[in-house]
Amino acid sequence: MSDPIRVLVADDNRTDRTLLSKIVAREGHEVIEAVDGIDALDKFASARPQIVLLDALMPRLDGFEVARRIREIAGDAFIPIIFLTALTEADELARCLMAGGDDFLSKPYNSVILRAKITALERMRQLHATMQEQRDEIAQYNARLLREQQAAKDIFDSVAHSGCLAAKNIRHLISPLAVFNGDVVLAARNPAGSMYVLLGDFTGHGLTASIGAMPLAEIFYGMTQKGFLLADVLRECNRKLKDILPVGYFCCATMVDFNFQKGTVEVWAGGLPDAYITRRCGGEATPVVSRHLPLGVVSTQRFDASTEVFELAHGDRLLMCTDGLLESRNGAGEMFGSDRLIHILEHTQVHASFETVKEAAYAHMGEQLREDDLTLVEVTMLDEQEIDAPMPTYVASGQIGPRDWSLSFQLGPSSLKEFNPLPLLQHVLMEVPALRVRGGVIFTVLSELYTNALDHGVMGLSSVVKSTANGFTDYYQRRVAALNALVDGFVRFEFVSHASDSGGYLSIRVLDSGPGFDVSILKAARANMTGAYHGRGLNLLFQLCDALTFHGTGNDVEAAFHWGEVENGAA
Amino acid sequence: MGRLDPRAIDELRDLMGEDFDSLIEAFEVDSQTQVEAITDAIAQADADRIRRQAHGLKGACINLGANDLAEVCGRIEDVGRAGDCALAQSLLPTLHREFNGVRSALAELRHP
Repeated sequence: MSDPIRVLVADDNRTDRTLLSKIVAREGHEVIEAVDGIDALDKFASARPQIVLLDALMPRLDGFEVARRIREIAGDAFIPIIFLTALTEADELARCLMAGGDDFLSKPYNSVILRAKITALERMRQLHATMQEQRDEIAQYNARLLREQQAAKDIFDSVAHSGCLAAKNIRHLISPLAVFNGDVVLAARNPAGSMYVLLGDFTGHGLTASIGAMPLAEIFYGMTQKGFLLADVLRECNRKLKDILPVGYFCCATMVDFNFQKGTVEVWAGGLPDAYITRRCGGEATPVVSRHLPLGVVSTQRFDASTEVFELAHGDRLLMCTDGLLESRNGAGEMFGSDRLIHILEHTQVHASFETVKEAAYAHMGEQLREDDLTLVEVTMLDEQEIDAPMPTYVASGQIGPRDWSLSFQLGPSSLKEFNPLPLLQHVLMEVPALRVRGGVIFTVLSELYTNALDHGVMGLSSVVKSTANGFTDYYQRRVAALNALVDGFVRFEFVSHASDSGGYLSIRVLDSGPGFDVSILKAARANMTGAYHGRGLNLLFQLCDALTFHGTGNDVEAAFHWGEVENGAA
Repeated sequence: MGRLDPRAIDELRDLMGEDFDSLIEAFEVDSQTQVEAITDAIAQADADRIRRQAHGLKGACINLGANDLAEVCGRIEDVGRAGDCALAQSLLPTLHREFNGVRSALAELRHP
């Protein structure tokens, strides 16, 4: 005997109805009787039976129509309907099933057969109900998942594809599915006016792949705007990702520093496909090859942050991509591949190459476009004045800041090798409210003075090398070698600042252990306005400072800034 | 008792228990009404009503084991479906004869 259920028995013939009700009741079920079609619908609506036994021929509304309306009322719920019939012709019986019946019961009624039918249909009904519940649960779960994914995507996109990507010298293409493939593109300017761009591709799929993007972006933006070197930023990104990512998860990345003043790009590449430098004047595309393990793989001690420097002329470009482009397949399963990419780069006008690569990739994938996993970034070398991306802004930690202070900070050989003092010093200087509006200028002056003191003063490198072909590349190689060999020497910063309500000044003196240089040549050149002293970025320094003074043998340089009414007069 | 299938009656008695008599009573009343309705429909030459009424009575007869009466009803139903009212008319005496036979048999059941 099946579990008791509620059964509607609709038959206008009292004998048949009484008989059937008795059979059903004896099975332990609850019986609701209806005497015609309209009555059957009323009783169905009020009593909500689980199974309906329905006479085909009834006054007022026949069984076929009643069945149709019950199906309407029941909606998604499955209500088994058994037609009661003295019909014997096959096509009449078929009509019962066509009209929405699930089975039929012929007269004379047989309690054994009816019991079997009710049991079978009730099992079907429960199965259907379970299926509906599960379907609804799945639908709800799916809807929640989609909402969460959308929210995650919104957050990811605002974090992972941010910064100054809209700058006129950047073109990029980011997969709308980036949140699931973990592609990250970050760009920002540092206080000296350089532009840092990072293209990253986290391993793995799904949301796990994108979680690492959050700390990566935070470190990138935080350290870039504070003036940290590329190597510093990379070291910190690597440390953080190594700490937080599970084993087997890491981030293939290429990070570049576009220096618009010098026309150089400094590159660190770990694990992504080759990037390519294309020249405005055409010719071969120069591959920029990955020389490192991805971020988040090795410990800080073993992390290698060494970089390569390439010179770029105005209009030269660097194109970076993730493996999604090269591994995208066409209908025949053939990959896009690097040969195809290089061919496009070498046979297209440089200004059109980005669009051409993009279109070629789309054309290659054709119908497979849904799986697109394309992330491409192109950065162009321009003059600094042409760059429209904003410089970092400094946020005050206090309203008034230090007003009368001095600071002396000296670095010995070990520090000079390992440590970049500029973010720290910049941070101190930016506590002075009046200096914040000139934050970029002050950082540039600080970094020029420091570079001169270290490179030309302490290490004695000649700047003449820079003006030859491949000069910068040679220069950087010599510099790395000299730094490694450094055993003595120092660079000392001396800051003096005084401020009142009406104005103030800052003096930055940078002294080094080197022999200095013949300051008289410089003075003569300035007097003649020839500007023929070269290398040390002195032209720039003279432009940026309110006053620039060389003391002694030239290994002691003082830069001064004034604001408002000057009280004591700086150097 | 020849008008009713004794095996069907036994099963019904077993199934209905103390409600057996009221089932028989209900049949007696309703079948009387249905036979009158068939007779009237034939007089009116209403073929569709002939078919429906005959079909209804047939079903109850099958359930009660009144197989001969059910068979006559089935023939009248077919004739009604075919729209041949004259032929239906010719079956009326048989219908009444069978019906009276079933009624006596039922009365005997209730008052043996």
